[in-house]
Amino acid sequence: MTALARSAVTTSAPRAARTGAASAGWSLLFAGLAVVPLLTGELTTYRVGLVLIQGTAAIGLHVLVNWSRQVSLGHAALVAVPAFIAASLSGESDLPLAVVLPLATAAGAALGALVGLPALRVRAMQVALVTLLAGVAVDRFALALPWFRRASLSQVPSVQLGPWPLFTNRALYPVLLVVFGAAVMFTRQLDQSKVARALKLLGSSDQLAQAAGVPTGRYAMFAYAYAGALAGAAGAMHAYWVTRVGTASFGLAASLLLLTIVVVGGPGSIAGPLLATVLFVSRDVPLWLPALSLMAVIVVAPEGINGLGRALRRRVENRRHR
Amino acid sequence: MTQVLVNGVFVGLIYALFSLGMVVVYDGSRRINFAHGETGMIGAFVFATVSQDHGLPVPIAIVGAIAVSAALGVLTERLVARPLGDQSQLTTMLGTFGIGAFLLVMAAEIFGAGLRVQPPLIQGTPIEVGGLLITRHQLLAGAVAIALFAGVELLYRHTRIGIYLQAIAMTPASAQVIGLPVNACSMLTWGLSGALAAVAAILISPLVTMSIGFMSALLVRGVSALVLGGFNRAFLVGGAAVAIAELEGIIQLEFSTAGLTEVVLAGAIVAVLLARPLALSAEREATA
Repeated sequence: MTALARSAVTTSAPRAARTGAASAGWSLLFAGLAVVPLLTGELTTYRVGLVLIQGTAAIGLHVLVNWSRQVSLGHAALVAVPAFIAASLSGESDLPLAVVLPLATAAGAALGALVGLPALRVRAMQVALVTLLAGVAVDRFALALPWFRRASLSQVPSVQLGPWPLFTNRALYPVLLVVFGAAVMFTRQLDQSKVARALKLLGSSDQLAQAAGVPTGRYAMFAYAYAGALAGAAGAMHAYWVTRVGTASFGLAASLLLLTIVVVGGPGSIAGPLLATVLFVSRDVPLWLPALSLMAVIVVAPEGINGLGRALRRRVENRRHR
Repeated sequence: MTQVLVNGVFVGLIYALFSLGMVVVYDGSRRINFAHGETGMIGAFVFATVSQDHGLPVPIAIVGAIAVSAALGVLTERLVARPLGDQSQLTTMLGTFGIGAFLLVMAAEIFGAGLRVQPPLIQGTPIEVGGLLITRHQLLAGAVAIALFAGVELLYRHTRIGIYLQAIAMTPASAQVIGLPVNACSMLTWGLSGALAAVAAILISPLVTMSIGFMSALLVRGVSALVLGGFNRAFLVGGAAVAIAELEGIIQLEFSTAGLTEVVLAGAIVAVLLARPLALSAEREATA
């Protein structure tokens, strides 16, 4: 009932104009992203690709954490399993991207729903504990299974788009951009829907949402599945982009990084978490930085980057009115 | 098989001691400290370093290590738990998750990421009881765990501070109004919790290979015991911890597949939460 409600109350500009401006901003961003491989080298393109992949996973976790106030402490596991599945299906089974990507996304959604299953009966706190256990269980057990182990040994083959193999990062980049763009657009659409309102109500107060007739358990579970689906898509893209899957990419540090990104991003628009993704992924950051940022932001500035943005906008608008 | 069960009891008592630290904090402030494992880990490494590498006498090293962990517990309270006092449980949980990760990174800097093997606290031949072997270290661990459980119980039931703590656990706001030292008591519980984590970590370290991540396994088992035992009922949580250790011993004996214990625990907890959600959640959860 804090940041979201307040931002809704203090909105003074007409809603339509504001959505229009936001859409223009997003279009501009995508236009800029589209020319990245044309203007920069393989290495920069690779980095930007990593940002897009993490960004896709972060958008899903943002819906879970910042909208519905549920927490996934082992979120990297939901990226890891689809990544291993994608590596195995495209490598050993030789399936095309058009089949592997939806399958990985579905696997992520299913895993998310499974982890979120207790949400039907218990409060967010207990579900969060389950996500911790599930994360460790996946890390220690599932990824050590022979089928997954084999997937991590071989290189992921390059994507074949019709007759053209996409050998280089610059060639594969458009595929990545389409997946990321779909995640952004779909989540922005979702934000306008009844579902988003229900999730945000659930996030502000369990009891309030129940009193308003929201089936809170099912909505919370949906949020877990949605976060899982985007994590799955990110996992598949990770497999193709990095061309190798290893358990090292998906441990506690990866889960912490994702959580930090959405907490630093703050409740509200998906722009916050995406900016945070750029901050933490666009270059190598020392491990203590995300840990310290998570702590500091929660205590000092719980509304994160989005909160800063809102404060800035209020200032500008107040000045204009004077 | 019987030997595995006997070993399980002693490991379980250490798990129980570890969980007791989480119970103390949960009871006092309705918070789950996700840095509990790392708090203990730092203590165990301080002990291992000063006693082995610098040759300090064991008792002094133990006291120093416990003091460091207790201080970390108090720091967690001051830096995260208290500023977030009016926030939701989830927010504090994320904060302590950050502290745990930060301690892990710091430990990697200070103690290195290598493995180390810790000798038992008491050397000597194992004692044979009816064909079963019990090491002296196991006996010591069991005795310490039971003594500390009894000590915490005594503290809560039979001292003035214990009565304060109970009152604060029930209704913090009223306790503040009638002039109880709420903040001091909160720091006391977090410090006590940190000390318990250090003792558990020091006792378990000779039984496992020590690395900076070695307490994350204990955190998983502690959290499981917490959920299964009902969060703030110390003896039920302790019982659950022993049961988890037994289960782990049997799984390792029968299957020797890595991580199977975690899968079984996760599955069991999901099943229990779905089947009997209210029986397990602490009674005052609704107000938190």
